[in-house]
Amino acid sequence: MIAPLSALFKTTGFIHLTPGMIFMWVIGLVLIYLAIKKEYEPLLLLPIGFGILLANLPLTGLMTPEHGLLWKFYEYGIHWEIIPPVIFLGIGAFTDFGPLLANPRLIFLGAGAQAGVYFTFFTAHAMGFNIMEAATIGIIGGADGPTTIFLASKLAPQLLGACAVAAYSYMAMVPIIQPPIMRLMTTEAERKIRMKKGRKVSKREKLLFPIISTFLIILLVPASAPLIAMLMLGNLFRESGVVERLKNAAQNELMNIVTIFLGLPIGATMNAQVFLQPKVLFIFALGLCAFIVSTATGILLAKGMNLFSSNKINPLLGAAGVSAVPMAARVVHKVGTQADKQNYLLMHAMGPNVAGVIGTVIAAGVFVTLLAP
Amino acid sequence: MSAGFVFIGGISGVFFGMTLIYLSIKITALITDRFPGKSKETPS
Repeated sequence: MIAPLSALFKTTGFIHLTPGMIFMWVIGLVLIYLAIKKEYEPLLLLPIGFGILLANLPLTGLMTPEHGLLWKFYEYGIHWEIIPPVIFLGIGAFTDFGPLLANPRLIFLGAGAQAGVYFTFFTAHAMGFNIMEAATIGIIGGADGPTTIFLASKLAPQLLGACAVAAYSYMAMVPIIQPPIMRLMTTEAERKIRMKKGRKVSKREKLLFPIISTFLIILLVPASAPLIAMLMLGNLFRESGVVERLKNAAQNELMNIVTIFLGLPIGATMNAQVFLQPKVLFIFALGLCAFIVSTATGILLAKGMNLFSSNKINPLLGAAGVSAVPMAARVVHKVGTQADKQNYLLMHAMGPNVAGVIGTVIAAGVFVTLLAP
Repeated sequence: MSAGFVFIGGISGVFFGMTLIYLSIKITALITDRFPGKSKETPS
């Protein structure tokens, strides 16, 4: 009687539990808590947290190659590079490039903020990460989740979970991370600089922008094509005004569906064996460093541009050059209004903010071009 | 591929790409201002 019971018990997961798995449950539950209670990037952190719980339940086979359900989501959604570009389609359908077109010099702030990506890449490599891992860690500084996932799946799939969680966590913490750096690097007078109203942008310009920029960026960095093509197609849906249904589908149904299939398998890559390593702590530390440096270099570039222009830029706008749309732009506006209540920076900050998305895609494309096996 | 090369190549690539887009925006604006057609202007 005891022998069959014992055999039956051995088929359950209980005796296969390890302390590492239980520790990962705690991490998964913390992410779920942050998503629900604090509303930190809940659309991603909630499924990621649940995916972590599933990945650390023994004997489920959910991530077994060829057969596991979550493995299939991962393989065909992320490894085949389908989901991040589809998310970019939705982002494009949401994005108004008008503020950027109205004041195109702000595009350089989106480029300046990518310096943090390369600084962190260099630092991570110096700390012993191989060159492809270092690139994946560096891209966290771009504050763009889908691009981080896209690059990690190409260069360092073993770091995908940690880098994705770091990216989304820090994106959620933009209102906490950025303001102290912004105050530290700007004077009160600089924060009070009022931006001149941008010129009016014609509908034709808004229509031409996604087409022309698709050509230019893909010709320059062909490896960025999956992301930039979908981003600009989504934007063309938006600006054309003749495919409302497609625009709405890209913004809503499609985006929501792929978000589910993105978060769950990312969480599922984070099993205890892979995740509980000292280098994961370094990834989180370096990701934070990337964010800080990106914010600082964006601000420094804005200050540098002011040296050569009579039409001054409020240097706070440089902080919006990290992607994190539209959170970083909102933070710029908030810090600006703390110095001058009448200073309305939100629309101006959207320019470098959307430029940051393009800049991060180009940075990722360059990494893929130079490093992909 | 050395890290230094990737560092320099990456930063230059991003700035070069952004410069191209900047120029394309300026040229597009110039052309559409010159040939406004019937398109409505929208506030930025």
